[in-house]
Amino acid sequence: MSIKKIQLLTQDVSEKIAAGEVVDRPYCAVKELIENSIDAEATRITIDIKDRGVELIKITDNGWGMPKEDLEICTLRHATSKIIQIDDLEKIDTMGFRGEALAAISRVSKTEIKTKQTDSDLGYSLITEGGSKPVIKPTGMSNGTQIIIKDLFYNTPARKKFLKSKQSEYSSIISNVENIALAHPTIGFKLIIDDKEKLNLHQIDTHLDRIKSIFKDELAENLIPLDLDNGTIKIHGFISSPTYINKKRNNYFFFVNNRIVISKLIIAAVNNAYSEHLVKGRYPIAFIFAELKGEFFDINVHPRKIDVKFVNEQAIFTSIRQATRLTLQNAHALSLPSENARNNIADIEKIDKIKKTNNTPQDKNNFFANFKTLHNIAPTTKLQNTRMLSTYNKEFSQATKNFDFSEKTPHLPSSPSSTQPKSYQKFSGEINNINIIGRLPTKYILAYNSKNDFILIDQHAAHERINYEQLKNDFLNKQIEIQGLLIPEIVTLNSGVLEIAEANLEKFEKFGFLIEKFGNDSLKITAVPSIIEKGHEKSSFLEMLSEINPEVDIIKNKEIIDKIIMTACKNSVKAGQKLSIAEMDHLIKNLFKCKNPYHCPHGRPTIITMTQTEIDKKFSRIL
Amino acid sequence: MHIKCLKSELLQALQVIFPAISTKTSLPVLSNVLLKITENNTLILISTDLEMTIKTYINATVIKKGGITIPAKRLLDITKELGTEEIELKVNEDFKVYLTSGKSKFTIMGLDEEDYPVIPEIMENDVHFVIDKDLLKNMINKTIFSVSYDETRHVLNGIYVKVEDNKIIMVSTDGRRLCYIDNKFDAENSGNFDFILSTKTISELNKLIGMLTIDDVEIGIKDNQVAFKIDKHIMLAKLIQGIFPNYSQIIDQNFSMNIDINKEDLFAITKRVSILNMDKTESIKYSFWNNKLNVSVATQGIGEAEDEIDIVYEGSVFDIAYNPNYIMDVLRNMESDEISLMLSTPINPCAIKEKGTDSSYLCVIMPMRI
Repeated sequence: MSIKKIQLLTQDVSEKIAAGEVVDRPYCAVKELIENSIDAEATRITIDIKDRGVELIKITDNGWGMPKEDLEICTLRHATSKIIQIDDLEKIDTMGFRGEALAAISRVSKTEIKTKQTDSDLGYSLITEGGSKPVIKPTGMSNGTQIIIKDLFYNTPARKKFLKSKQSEYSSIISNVENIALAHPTIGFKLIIDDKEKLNLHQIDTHLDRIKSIFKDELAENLIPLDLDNGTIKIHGFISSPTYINKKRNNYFFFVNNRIVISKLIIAAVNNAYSEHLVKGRYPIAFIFAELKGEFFDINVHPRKIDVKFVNEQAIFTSIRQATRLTLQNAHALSLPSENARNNIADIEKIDKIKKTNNTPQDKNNFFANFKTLHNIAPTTKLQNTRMLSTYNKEFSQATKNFDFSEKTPHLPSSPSSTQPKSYQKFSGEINNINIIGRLPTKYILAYNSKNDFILIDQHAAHERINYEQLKNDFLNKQIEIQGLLIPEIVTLNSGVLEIAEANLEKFEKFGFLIEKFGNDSLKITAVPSIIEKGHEKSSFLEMLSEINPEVDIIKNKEIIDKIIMTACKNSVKAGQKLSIAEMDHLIKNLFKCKNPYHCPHGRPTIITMTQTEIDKKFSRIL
Repeated sequence: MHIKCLKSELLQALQVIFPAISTKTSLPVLSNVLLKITENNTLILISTDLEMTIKTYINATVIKKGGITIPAKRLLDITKELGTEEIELKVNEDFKVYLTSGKSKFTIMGLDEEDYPVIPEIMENDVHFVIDKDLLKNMINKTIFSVSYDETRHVLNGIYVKVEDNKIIMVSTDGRRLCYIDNKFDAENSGNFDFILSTKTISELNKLIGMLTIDDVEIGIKDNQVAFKIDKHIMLAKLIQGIFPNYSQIIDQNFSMNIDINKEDLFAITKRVSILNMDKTESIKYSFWNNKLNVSVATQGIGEAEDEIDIVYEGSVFDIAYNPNYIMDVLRNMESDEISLMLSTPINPCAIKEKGTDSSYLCVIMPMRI
């Protein structure tokens, strides 16, 4: 056997390898080309695919088009109109930027590009095969660009061999087109696969409309809007209401500057905010569109441009979690009154008419009462929003200031709790008018409010929520009890984690973990919060350590939360336990003092309401 | 197999072996008791859950040798309800068991004895010693409460037993406190050895000891097995494998202070004050000053409590906090009227000993931070 010498790859081979990094499956080519069309400000993009995209990928847009001189060099590697110098990488605002896509695709296929600029009479076409010298000819066509890719991977058989089944290639293509379409509602998309129309998305105005046209209406109806703007990051989006039943994981659509990204950080932030609102086995759905200045994140992590790195992860995490949490907490308070307000307008109009004809004192009172609630609610909703925003704007700026998160004060007891009760006061004023009808044996309290909405309350879940918040508060307000360990626990860590742990020894001490360095690669736990069960010292510490970035918070410790939930559950009235009217009354009043009165700590709902209108509909009184 | 035996003897034997019967198992033979005729014509009954095995012998008139396994719960229930003292058991080739007693006749489906797991034997020439039943019980009671129930540190899930230099030592710890006791003991030249008994083994042993009137327990050790021979019953169990933490550096610490306190007073004041704790993991504070011990607690959302007893203490003010349950657990097992509380600093462990006896019994407790 002869020894092989190390040689420099020929340009052709190295370019094919590089091409494979950008375009390893047909959907990547589709994605790259659509992004080019978007950068060319196209408003209609048509994608035509045949046989997994191997036979044909045809993208037609109505964008700017290219002048002849651009067309000549567009298939060269690192040819891009989007960045010129390295500093530009810091502030990418176009979809593509690496100047790799067209070059890569043309190396591994037979490519034809036709393009015509709006202000020129003539278009040009370019033909190249496997990166051969392009042949350019004038051609007649309408404005825009059309790229036709044939025989993709014809000269890289290995790549072709590893293509997946039709079904799987198509589903990748469809979901990529959908993801791009979600971010760009003002662009129309048409996707044709093997001569069948798979998607036809018309130009529309809002993200919600686009979500509606891609997903089921039922989902769109169950989405709650989420908004935040604090100067650095602007977020808007939609998250599923906790009552929406979704059993599938990974329904997260995150867009940073209209580019879909995958970020564990954002997933963690959203999940964290949902944790108390969802029953086990159900997952949130989130569409989050963030606008962030180029210097605050790096998308150039991977050629695919789906991984994203944030400069200040802590601030991003906090903002998104906070925005999600407040949105969820206010979901009921916001949605119920607004719906009632709408009903009230109709009521008032009706009553107004009656009043004109039959002006009795009783009607007057009734009218007055209704009028008052309407006016109480509408401004509150607005006020709440502004207050919510200012709350997390403040927190965000604090978080950004304190880059080093060890400086950051645990946030739970601070802002939200100080504003939250206020935002519910109006609503709980409403709740004070709850009239208890009685009990539905053996678990539920039956009641109605001043608007004759029918209300069902789960007595155990409600009490559990009250106890849970009380215990959690107590725990946060009191000093953490620390139990010394007779036999210290030794934890061996890899150097990266060890460094994080060592940098945060003070933080751990604050939460009751007394830790010393032990040898080169280990830590010695000498004391733990006494609430931690015997034997769970190590696992609890490791759990907190894994959470430390982006933040450490004792109340997030699952061990402790579970224990608080268990105690809350044990101390609660049982389902089936008889309650007197006075007890039920007290329970309801306390429930509405809670931060999240609508779910028990396990995530089950505590209250079900049925509005008068809904009941009327059920009896076919109104249609 | 064909035998005759007495109801009362069979009943007691079945009750003795019953704890090692698995009622819910995927291996049906484990719900059965193995009956077998030994070389010297006695009937042996065996039960096992593969962790623990119990054997016992009863007298029987052997008409035909052999063996069979019979569903233990059924056999026990039947035996309990029989009206006549004499029982006859006859097994046919299909493993059908014909049980007759007076006019009562039962036919029970048994299983082949060949299917029964092989039971390890511990012989007279393995590590072997005899210990007084009351001494054994006393030492177990004084250490069992501080074993750990956390399965991630399995070596702590039992009592560590060590025989050395004519002494028998038992130690247990849950990582927050440790109990130590030793007693004079003549192991008859069996040398030094140690092993860890699991809490399950200990509790079954306790039950067995409680059921019988005996004086001594014979203990044998082989590999990872321990055997207890009590009268004509033998219980075999697996030992906990692993290395028990080095307890000697914990019990041999220097304590700079030694305060004597009336045991009942300390127990009562601890119990009273801890009523205001919300959770059994919370601490109460002990303050020593000016010949007084002041015990206090303040719990957010519940209230405060304070109490005081007279002691002899002339040092400077000394505050320390403990989980009250740890204090009460050990005091319950102390036999003297007074105890010695040995302290050094508020973050170092303390030790509690009996005062005025020559007992070695010692409990080391880690304080909580104030």
